[in-house]
Amino acid sequence: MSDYVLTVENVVKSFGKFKALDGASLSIPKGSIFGIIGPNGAGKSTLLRIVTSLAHPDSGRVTVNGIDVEAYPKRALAGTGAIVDSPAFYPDLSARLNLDILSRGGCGKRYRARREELAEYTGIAGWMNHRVREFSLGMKQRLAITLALLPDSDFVILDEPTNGLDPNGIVDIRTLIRNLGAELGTTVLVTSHMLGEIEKICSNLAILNHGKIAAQGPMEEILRRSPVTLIRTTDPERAETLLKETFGPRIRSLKRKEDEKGILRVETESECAAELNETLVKNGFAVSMLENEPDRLERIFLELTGKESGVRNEVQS
Amino acid sequence: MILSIYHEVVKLTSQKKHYIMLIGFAFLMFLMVLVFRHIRDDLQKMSGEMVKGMPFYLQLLVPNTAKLCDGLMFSRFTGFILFWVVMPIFSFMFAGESIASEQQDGTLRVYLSRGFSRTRLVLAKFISVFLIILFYTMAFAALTMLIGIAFFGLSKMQITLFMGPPGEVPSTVGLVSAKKAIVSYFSGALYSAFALSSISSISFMISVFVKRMSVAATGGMVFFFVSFILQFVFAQYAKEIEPFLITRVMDGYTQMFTIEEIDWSSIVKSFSVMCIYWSVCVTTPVVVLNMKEY
Repeated sequence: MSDYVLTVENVVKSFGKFKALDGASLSIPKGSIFGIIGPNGAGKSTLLRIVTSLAHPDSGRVTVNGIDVEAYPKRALAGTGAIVDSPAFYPDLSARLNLDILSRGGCGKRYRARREELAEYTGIAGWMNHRVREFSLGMKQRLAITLALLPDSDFVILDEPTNGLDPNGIVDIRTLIRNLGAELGTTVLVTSHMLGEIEKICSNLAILNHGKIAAQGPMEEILRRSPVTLIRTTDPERAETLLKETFGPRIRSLKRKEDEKGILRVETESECAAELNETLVKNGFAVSMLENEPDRLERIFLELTGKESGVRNEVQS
Repeated sequence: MILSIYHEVVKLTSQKKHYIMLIGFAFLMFLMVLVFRHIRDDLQKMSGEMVKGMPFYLQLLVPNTAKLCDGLMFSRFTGFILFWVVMPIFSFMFAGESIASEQQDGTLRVYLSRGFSRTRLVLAKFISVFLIILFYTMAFAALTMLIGIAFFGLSKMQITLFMGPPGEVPSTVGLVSAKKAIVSYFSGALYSAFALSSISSISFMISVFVKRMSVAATGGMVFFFVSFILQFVFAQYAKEIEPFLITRVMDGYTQMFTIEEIDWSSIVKSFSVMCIYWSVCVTTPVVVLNMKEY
């Protein structure tokens, strides 16, 4: 058995002259919470549609649990639950009936027990007889997650699950998604524009840009790319010269922060905050602050995608 | 498949348009009771003078017709309006709803993202629409008869003459037992359920191409009324296509409601036309849905 739930190999998908996916390849390890981020039009939704057999690739191959989605969609997606775009339900039916119909769970005892157990888990047990029309957006997201887990899903795809939620709702859904992996062993694929959320939730990440995977791997590994350290020290001008001389090419860029000239912003090849601190202290500088620059993912995302597409304004953290 | 059909029926029965249907039916019954009461009173007032010049059998029959204007006659009379005008509109609405509205609200995408068979989905939807039409047709037929009997009673004998060709005096007339008339009436209702299913299949087919139920339902209605005009107004100019018009399938149940001797060859022809419409209007959504990307 493969260690990957989902593998996407060189998938190409065009709409007329526009290439939505241009040889995208990625692999999602079992048990991971895998995030996909990318600017608008990067191909995220197209990729999810192809994975869930809603669209067909021009070329390339997608397998779920080793089974080709294009050739055997029903078998391949038997253990997959997906909510692509916003969660859609039949508003005049109860939550319970919605789950039964959309998951085609049948009417067996085992299914019914799992349905009620999952409803309890996602916090909608008390609402199962209510019509979906009465649900808030947060409740709909919970219902969508319950649906994705039914009847026996071990791989769940959630497209923008925190979209439109208030801060409390975001925290609730974030906790729920984290727990899916930790407690149920479910593999989760999640897309979002909220980079802060992705950073907090996901163990693995892929950045999609212009239909290609710009970067992918474990979150920590991606965040370690070009780490930036902020240092507040006495005499920053001299400290700048010292660090440049000491670290040489290991420092990619070193400048003073525009909004606070007393702080040095040091971008290095690899994590070396401790070394920077040691060098400064040994040379008689008083270091009053040394920290990693926040919003690391946002910076990496913009580096890989945003600079040319002007996507900066759309990114929320 | 049975589970799929059951789910589709549950979805269809949850819609609010059922209340509209019931209100529409109640209003129609109210009007028809008033109209039929007037017809019966007018027939009772008919004098011998009025029947002079009519064929012999009508001179005997017409003065006694008022006695035959009972509950079953009421239901046969009402059936023409119910099954020719009201039920087709409701059928178009149900058939148009089935795929188009789910495309619009996104539930179809949720369902298809599981990799379920799209062919089975189309078949389940079509069969569920037929089951709903069948249920309403038989229920409305029974209710109409019960309302008729409640207001106008039930005679032991039923007149077989009901409506002749427009502008012509009917050439056949007769009396049958109420039992036989009731059997004919419900056979007619059953037939009309099949006829309505084939008529509404036009909307069903359109619904796979559009995202709005109203567009699919209106498309079916336009097709139906154009067909109606061609068959009854411009028949002489449309002889080649007349046998294939969708309204042609309604002829069969007209025969049954008039409780004349059934022309089985005509019924077989009507079912053949229905089969053509069913085949085209179910195969097309199957092909389109299997090719379509969401």
